[in-house]
Amino acid sequence: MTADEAVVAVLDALQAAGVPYMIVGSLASNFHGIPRSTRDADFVVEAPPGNLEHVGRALPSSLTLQRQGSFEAVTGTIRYLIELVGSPFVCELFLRSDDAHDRERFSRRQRVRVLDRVASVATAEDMIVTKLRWADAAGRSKDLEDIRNIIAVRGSDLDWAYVHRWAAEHGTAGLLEQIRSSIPPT
Amino acid sequence: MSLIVALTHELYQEDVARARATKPEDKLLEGPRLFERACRLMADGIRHQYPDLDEPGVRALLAARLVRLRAIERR
Repeated sequence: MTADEAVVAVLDALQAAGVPYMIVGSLASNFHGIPRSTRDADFVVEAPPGNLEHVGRALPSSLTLQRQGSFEAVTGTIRYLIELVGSPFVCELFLRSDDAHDRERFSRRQRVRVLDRVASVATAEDMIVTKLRWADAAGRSKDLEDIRNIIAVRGSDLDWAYVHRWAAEHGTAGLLEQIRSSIPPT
Repeated sequence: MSLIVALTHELYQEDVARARATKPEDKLLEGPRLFERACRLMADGIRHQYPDLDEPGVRALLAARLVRLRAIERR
């Protein structure tokens, strides 16, 4: 099984298990921005950990869901890994937290058609808000690059009032302006 | 504006135009595909560097390099 087939298999397993989810991380920033290589596919799921066993059972044999979750420092949530046998590529399920923005972005998730199925993806605005927070906290250059790319590709049709509201709330408005001013006119 | 900066902007504008012209659905799975392509190239590089290394050895070295890359990305 290839890495992109693994992503589709996880989407199907989440669907089969009836677990509400949204695609986040670099998969979602590629969706809204400029594609780059990624070694993991991230999903936020809304389910008690027990329900994830149904997801594990719905996966093909080449994918293994780890039973034990771990605390993820950057996102501040619990993460469950799904490993693809014989590959360094992994899928990660993050439990939706009670954080105000985490709750709102989950409720605003966008339904899209991908490979003959309907999938849920975090909106471009919520990707910017989330990645601003991580870039501010962890200083990862790839987050800054993803934000820049989403704004450059989607700029004029973004809901800027929404982005500014959360950036002010999270104290990342200065960083947002810094990134915006670094984008060459397109 | 220096020539290098102008060229960098032009290349970036091309990337943006290409991304706008591609359906978002088609971009969604590009990340895992690019990663696998990069892994194949890295494995070829390891085989070239160590022609006597067996396949489990190539995989182990590739995994170690990916761990190192991740550590660099997090700096």
